[in-house]
Amino acid sequence: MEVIFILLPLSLALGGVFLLAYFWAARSGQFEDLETPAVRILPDEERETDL
Amino acid sequence: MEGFVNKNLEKFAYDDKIVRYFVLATVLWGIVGMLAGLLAALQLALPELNFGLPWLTFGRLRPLHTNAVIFAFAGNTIFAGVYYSTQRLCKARMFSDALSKFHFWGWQLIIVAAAITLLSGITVSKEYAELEWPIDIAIAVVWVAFGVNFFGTLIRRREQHIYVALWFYIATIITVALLHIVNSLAIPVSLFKSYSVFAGVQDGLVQWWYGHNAVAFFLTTPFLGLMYYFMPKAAERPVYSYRLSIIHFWSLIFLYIWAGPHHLLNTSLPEWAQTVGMLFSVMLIAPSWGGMINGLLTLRGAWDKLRTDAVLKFLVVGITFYGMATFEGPMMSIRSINALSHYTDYTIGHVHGGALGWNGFIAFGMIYYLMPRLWKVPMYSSRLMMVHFWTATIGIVLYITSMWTAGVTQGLMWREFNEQGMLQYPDFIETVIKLKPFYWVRALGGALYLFGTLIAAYNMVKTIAAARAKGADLSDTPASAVRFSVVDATKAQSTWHQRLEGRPVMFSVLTLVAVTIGGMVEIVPMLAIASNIPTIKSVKPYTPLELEGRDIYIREGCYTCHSQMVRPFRDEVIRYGEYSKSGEFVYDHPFQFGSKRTGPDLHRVGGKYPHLWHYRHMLDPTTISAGSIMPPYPWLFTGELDTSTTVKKLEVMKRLGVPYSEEEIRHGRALVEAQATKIVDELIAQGLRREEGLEKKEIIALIAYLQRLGSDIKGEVK
Amino acid sequence: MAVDSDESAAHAYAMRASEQAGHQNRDGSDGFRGNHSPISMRAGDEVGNTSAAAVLPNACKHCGQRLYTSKELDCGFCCNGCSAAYSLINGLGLGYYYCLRDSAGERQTIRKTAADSQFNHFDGAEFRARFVRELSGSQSRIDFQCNAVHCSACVWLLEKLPEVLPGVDQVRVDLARAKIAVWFDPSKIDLSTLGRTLAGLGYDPHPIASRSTAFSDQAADVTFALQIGVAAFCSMNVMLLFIGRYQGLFSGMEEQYAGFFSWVSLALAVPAVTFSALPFYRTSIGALRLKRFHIDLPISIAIVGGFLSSAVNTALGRSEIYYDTVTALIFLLLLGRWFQRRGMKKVALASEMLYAIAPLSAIKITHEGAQEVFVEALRSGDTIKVPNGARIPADAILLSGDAIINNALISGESAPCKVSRGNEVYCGALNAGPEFTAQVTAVAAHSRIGNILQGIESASVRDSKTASFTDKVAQYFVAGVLALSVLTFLLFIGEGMAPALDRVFALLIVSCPCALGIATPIVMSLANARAARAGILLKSGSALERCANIEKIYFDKTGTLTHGKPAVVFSHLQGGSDASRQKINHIIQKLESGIEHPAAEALRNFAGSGPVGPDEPELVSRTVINGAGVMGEFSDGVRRRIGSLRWIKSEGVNLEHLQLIPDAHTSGSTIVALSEDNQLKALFALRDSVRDEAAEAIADLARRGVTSGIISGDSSGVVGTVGESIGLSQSDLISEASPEQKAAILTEAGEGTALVGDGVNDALALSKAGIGIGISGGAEVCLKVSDVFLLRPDLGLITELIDGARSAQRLVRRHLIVSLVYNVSAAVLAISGFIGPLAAALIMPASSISVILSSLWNAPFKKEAAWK
Repeated sequence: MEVIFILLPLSLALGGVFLLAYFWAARSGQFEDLETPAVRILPDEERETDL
Repeated sequence: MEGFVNKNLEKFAYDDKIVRYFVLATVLWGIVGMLAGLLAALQLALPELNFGLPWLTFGRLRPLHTNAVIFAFAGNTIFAGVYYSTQRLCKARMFSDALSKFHFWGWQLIIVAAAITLLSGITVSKEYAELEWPIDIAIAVVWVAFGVNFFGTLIRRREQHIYVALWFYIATIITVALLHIVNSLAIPVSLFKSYSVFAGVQDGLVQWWYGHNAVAFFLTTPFLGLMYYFMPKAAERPVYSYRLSIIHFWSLIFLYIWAGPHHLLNTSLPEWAQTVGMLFSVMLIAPSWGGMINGLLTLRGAWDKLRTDAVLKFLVVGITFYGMATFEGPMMSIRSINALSHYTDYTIGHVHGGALGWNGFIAFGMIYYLMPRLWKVPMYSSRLMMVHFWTATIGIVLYITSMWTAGVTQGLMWREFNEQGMLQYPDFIETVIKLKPFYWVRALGGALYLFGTLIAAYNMVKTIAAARAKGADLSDTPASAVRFSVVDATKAQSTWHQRLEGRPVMFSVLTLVAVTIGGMVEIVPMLAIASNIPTIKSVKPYTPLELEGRDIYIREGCYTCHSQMVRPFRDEVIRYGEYSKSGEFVYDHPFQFGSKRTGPDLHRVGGKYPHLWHYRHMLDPTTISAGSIMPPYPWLFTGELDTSTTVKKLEVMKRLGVPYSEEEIRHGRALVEAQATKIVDELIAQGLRREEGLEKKEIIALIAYLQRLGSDIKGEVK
Repeated sequence: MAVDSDESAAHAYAMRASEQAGHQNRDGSDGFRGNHSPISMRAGDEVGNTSAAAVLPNACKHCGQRLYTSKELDCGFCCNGCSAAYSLINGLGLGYYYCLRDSAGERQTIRKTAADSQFNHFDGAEFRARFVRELSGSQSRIDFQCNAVHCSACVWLLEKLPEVLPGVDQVRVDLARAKIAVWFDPSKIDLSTLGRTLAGLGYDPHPIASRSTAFSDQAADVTFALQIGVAAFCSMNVMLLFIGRYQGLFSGMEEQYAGFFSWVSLALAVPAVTFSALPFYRTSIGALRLKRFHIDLPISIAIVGGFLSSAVNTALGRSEIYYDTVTALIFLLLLGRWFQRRGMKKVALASEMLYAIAPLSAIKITHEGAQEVFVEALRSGDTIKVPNGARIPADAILLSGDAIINNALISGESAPCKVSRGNEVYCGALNAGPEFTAQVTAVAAHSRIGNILQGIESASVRDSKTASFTDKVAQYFVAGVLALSVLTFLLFIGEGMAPALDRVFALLIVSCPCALGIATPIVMSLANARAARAGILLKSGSALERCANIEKIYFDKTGTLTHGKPAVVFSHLQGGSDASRQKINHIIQKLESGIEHPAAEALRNFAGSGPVGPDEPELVSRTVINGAGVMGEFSDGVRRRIGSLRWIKSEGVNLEHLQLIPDAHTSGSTIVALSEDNQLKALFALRDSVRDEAAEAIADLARRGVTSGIISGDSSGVVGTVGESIGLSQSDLISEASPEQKAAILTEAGEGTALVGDGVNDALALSKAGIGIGISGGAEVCLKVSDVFLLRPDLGLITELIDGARSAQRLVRRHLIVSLVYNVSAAVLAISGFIGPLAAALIMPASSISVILSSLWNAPFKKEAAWK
């Protein structure tokens, strides 16, 4: 089962990469407002221009 | 106010053409993949449908089906959804049109190459990763192009907030890249042949670490992303709880990478690895069901829309199937339940519950949502969409229930003991015959689902025709958004203390990443060789002829119906022989555990039957065991064994740590002929009529390999 | 488009009303660019000229309100505010707003109030200093609070502003906090235009102070989110590694893998112990500096100790490692903290409270004429004009004639009082009379209301420092654990360093104060949540604790014990036939309509309920005499009057029927008469009646050993009658108390006394009381000053509050005893070496979980929402 010596660090490294992504997200304010983004995607751009 | 134009306002247009291409490719390859699936299902019910043609036999057709529906159908769905939603979520055109085109045509080329190679027997035999090394490299290149294009768009976005769907796409791109590269680590023998770097149990764990995460990061996270975009848009309601989606994403991502071992429960994988896999899989219910609840409850207060709106019908039922499949999965990864369900058709029921239900329905829901927007005309007929929905739903239900019943029947019959303590059904064929009716019902279910897809295709063609007839202007959708960089006040205020605080963690994580990549580079070669220190003395490398026979075994896809892993259960030890030890597989590059027992386990078949039995059985299985659904392999008796690369194969094996001596490699071909003539002599002794040039035929090599399977340890036990 | 006919019927049904009135005036051209757009192109819709399903014929095109009068119907709007908003939105080319709003199922936008202010006060330098944040030369930011923002249409409309309003760079809406953040270039747009546009669109902007606590919290929230993220990542992965090791203990695991897992766990534990556990180290060190033991101290020691000893054992290759316990402990405790953070209401700054009450703009009179300025731009000595119905912007001395002022905000008494020239009127009071001018004496923070709010702010800061019950227990617990661990170390040092250390860390880990650390905050936040559902809003967990030991409760009279608004208690009509009854109802409605006086409102309620005759005389003209009544000339030539007895008598109407009203109603109530020419037609007795559940509530409280009393600014007579009616003895009644006197009484009454009163006018007293319970005046203002706010003015809730608080306290005490017993027994076992660190690691979470489950299981306050 020596492959665990590769698989485990690899998996944790990948997890680590996502932890860094989490850091960047928290620092750059992605989690400041957790309600409006869900609503902000609803309007369709296609429809604005034709009115 | 009139006539004022904001200097930051930028006009641009979304690239809709690429999305149209991907949508069309999705339905095209969907039909091809499902046709292959239907034919394979019928072949199980009616073996004659193999027609004795090498390139149409089940062993080569099933890998084509799995690769087609996963990478071609689901793949193109993901790309269509990602290209459409990313541009709108980022309020920016794709980073580079050239990359988009390269990605599209490259991916379709890969699909065509895969179809050709798989049907001609060129395969690596690792499930859902069967493609040979040149195509693997092509996939990696196209995937990187897709990644660059996606992240480019993300960086140039005009909307600061990264919506949760985009986070799911990010996770998909990064993780699939890593999985694909690690699982494709192989040393090429020739343009069409390579041997996996890992062997036996190691290769098994790496394959299923890839296998499960291919399901996770190719068939779940991107589709969750699509759900989080298309469900709110179709329901015109915000998602139920955006906070829940963030929590469920990050908890899913931090941990997902532990999956895999639950495909190898009760095998020769060390028990501690099995337990970790089992526990992790059971924990997966939480994030998965978090996603389902979030998706379904988006419709709170608007459930009546479901009555009239086909798109919502597909999406909601799709998410419900996701809930079902992600409840079934953790249950099946509990060791005792797995003991019953592993290697049976129950697994196939679970897979198709997820694939047809979740992936298929989200794909069609998305397509029906996109068509009016991409071709600027309403769908040709909403009635046909409803017909497609009901046909497909009934199809899935038939498929799943038949496979569940077949699976449980198989599992119970295999382990059935009568009063005398003997196996109730000692002969494997007795269970196969019992399953025939279920295979028919499954074929019917699959046919209905395919028929639904054909209805969809017809509906789409008529819609496109209507668009063309109306001369709808298919130019890219114009859009405008303000590009504005915020001088973030909070960052200016954060004290040196907060900035310093993050440093130790950032530093330790960075070292973790650096150390592992560094470690990977040296460890891989060292470990790949060191791990082959034989733990069982009697286990020797395959002889050159047996190695060639093994490659034929791989080429014909025997692993799609036969497993090579006797589990430590009383019924299996009685039926097959001593249970398999991990030490026996140290020279198997790639491993051949298999995941399905349509036919019996072969790991102890060495020496069980005389050569002549195999000779006649391979020519026409029904003559040996009546009612067998194994296809005949006549071309093995006419085709000559190609020994041109035998020496090269032995050299590659040596580099992978298999202890072949120098002269063994030099005299490879001579050894092949010697052992072949010996086997032919034994065949004649057993009553076969001598034929000219028999020893050159491929069947002899296959017989040599089959007779060697599991015989090393037998010598030791007796 | 060869589509069979039956399908089109289905589509007609499927066509939702997403086609707005806005589309109506476009001709239904068949090209796609025509009036159809993808949203309404539901899969299966038809192109072609299906008639746009018109919005309900008689609904206002802007806000969807039903229209009544013929004038409203033909112009299609319910008020000029809506028509202005409608034309502004379409003028800016943002007509898509209506289509979006309807598809989101939001029929009703908040009715647009015609904002009269021109927002000129937004342009002052003081305003910019207070509300605007300069980010860079050409980029500033201002945040507005606006409760009208509620759906995707509002978000889309506001965030499109940069494309239509020059100078605005970006607008970000935050629905959860109802905030609008605007980045703008001060040189290109002045704030008044921004204010007018926002108000014009229907979103009245209330600026948020730039140094508000909200912004400084954001940086702290980010760090906390990171700490929890790292703790989650590490603890979850370490947990899985340990599952492998535990399984390995049973079915064997080669040494190379066990060692490898041990090292990886160590690597994973480092970020959790160094970064995620910082809050624990910071609080325990902070407390140590103040020579106090904080409950985080044993936690920190357990974490650091557990980590160090595990690290040593990993290096030595021994198997006693407990990274999983350490990381799980950090993650669970941080989770408990996260719950606590969410439940806690932020302590508001006095300045923010002031803006919630006092007006922002004032009309300053200078030689060039009247100008609208920002309140803080006023200097003492400036003259200001206060129109009818506006709030007084600053303390000032009356210049022009007498004024009628409603001082509810300050003194709490709702009846308006007359102020003569030369006297002082206070900032925040309402001008119920005619327009007047005054000379400013004190502005904003220096005004009387400013000082009151200053007092409140200092009180609320004091509130968070009081040592709650758990902190008191923590002192002894921590001291005990530390002493015990030192003792253990000394006792077993003889057997060598490693075993001794093992016992100490086993003791520390096993004695983790999970009951204090996790269970108590969960009990409190759960109780808060359950109480909120029962209609009781609690400011913090500690508020609930203090409610448990209330001994005495003072009730404010007006609005708390009584309904706060007078109602007609007795009425006598001349000639009691139905026809005359209808006539009188008609007269009352005509004469009293639109008058902002409590008595007028009581009469309207009384008349409104009765039938109105068809052919009644029309009101020709009406004159309102302040403080007396109202007189009206009717089309039938009769002059009718409604007003106080004193005024009716002075108008020459004979009142021989006075004794008809039984004396039971005369005391404590005001008598109003209605006369035609000089004939007395009807008499009414108006009194602010006591709430019917008051007496029963007082009795319940008495049964629970809580004595009650009244403290009010009203006259002793009125207070006396109310006190008797609910069974209180004279000794408990305090009357004619000014806000400052009330506050003084309650401060010296100390911890155990509570005050139940109106959140706005009893603000100072509420903040000084041991427990302030606001019963009306709006949750937002109330919770800034008091600890509790009752959503329904039902006195029965107070008994529920006390019962809930006491059961919560009993629950916390029970947990402490349980965890103490568990800790002592586990400690004894750990010291005696009977259980090793591994067993300790298993017991600790088991005890935490059992405590958490029991607090979830029998949390206080009734389970189902008591919405009577």
